[in-house]
Amino acid sequence: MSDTDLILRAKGGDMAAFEQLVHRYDNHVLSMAASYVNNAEDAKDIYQEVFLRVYRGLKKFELRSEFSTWLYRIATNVCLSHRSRRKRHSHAAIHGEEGDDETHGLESDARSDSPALGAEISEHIEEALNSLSPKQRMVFTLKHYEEYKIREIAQMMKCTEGTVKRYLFTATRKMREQLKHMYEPVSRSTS
Amino acid sequence: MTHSQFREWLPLLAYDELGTEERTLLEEHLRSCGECRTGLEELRALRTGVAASQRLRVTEALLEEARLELRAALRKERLRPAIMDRIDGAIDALLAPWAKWSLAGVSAVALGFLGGYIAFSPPDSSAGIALKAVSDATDISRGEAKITNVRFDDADPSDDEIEFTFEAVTPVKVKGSPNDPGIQSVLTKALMTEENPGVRLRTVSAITSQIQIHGEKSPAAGDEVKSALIDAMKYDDNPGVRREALKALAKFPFDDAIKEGLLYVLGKDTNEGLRVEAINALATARDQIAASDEQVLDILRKRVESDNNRYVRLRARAVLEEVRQQ
Repeated sequence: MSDTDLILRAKGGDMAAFEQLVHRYDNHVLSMAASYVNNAEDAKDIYQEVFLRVYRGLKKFELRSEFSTWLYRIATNVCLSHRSRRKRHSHAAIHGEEGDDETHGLESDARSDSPALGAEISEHIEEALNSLSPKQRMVFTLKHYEEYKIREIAQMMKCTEGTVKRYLFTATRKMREQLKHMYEPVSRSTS
Repeated sequence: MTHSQFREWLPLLAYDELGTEERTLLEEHLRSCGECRTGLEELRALRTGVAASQRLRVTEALLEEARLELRAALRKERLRPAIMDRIDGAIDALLAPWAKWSLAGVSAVALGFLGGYIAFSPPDSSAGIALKAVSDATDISRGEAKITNVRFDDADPSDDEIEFTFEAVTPVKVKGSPNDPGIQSVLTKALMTEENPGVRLRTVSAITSQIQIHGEKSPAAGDEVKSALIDAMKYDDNPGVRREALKALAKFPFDDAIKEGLLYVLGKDTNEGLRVEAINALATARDQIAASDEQVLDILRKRVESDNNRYVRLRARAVLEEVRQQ
């Protein structure tokens, strides 16, 4: 069944259709939220808020744009406005709650050989990400962790590709400055 | 092209987002610009460093947890706007046959001569609430009403009047046949709106006993009750309520709506006991399930292959065979 069929059914109050629609995209939404906040509870909050907004807005959704475009736009907006809560918990999240996250269903995606080194790098990176503005952080996480194209990010954030490039440029510049002490040895070893 | 423009392209090169022409131009510039070469190296090192960090990723368990929480939130969301209208409607329906009731509701009154000693609240808190006459409030104060949430809109007695809003809740006693559509309607609303899971559980039991005792329902009310039970079986936060709803549905004639509800539980409920109950209910109704019903076969197959509970896998396999042999 196409998205359009499901949307039309969901608009008519068919909850099973709505749920099917949610299940087509919710992994991406949760992943986007998890990358952005790096915290299981916040990611679930964002996930829930996104789909509640979709549910509330579905009656007014007129199928002029792709459902996915609309959905991801809502998701980025919710992530951006979620910053205040993330900020409130950021200290705890950086300094020791990540272990708790694993018990809530998130697994560490450690690609480093040493877990301790990976954890230390993660702390520095989280701190560096916290120094970015919400939009810079959004662009950086969508680009780096979710591997979206700049064109797609521009659609999601309802701005031009030029604007996304600017955010990415500023974000990478700030991240480089913040993490210089960390990646310098890596740079030497890779050159 | 200037050096600063090339510098802005560096992240795009690092993320492979440059067009062929731009890439050639930048690579040519990099041959002669040490600063940009260093910048590019740093960017690549940053990518490596970020990639090596412990990032949190979504697991099936987290996704399932998020979905369950969303279901509960959607359930509340669906009920919220209609609750008061529907309860009012149900009470209206019940009012005609029984006259001796006191009513529950939200009232607003204007009274003189009361002091301004109680806390103030925002001035627009009574928006949309009708202003009642003093005599109405006196009636309420004489009755058994419990007064809560008193909010003052005008607590200044200088003009001999104050204005405030409160909620007056009085108990409503209902006595009548469980087959009465009005009674069924109120019970159904209670099942959908009551916050207390114990009360929801008792409500399901009341509905179930009615089905046992009388065995017949008026079709309209029956559909409403069935639909509420299916909703409770699928979405109620409390597994006990979900289980009671499932058991109650076994007393209804098996149909597509019940089948879909049972398949939903079998496919998605995190409670193993409920998945077993759903398989058992499907087994009981297997005569009414076609051997070619792919929807049923598919979910049973999935349970056989991947359920984390051995007993669920065994039961699913047995029922799958039974359905296939129809």
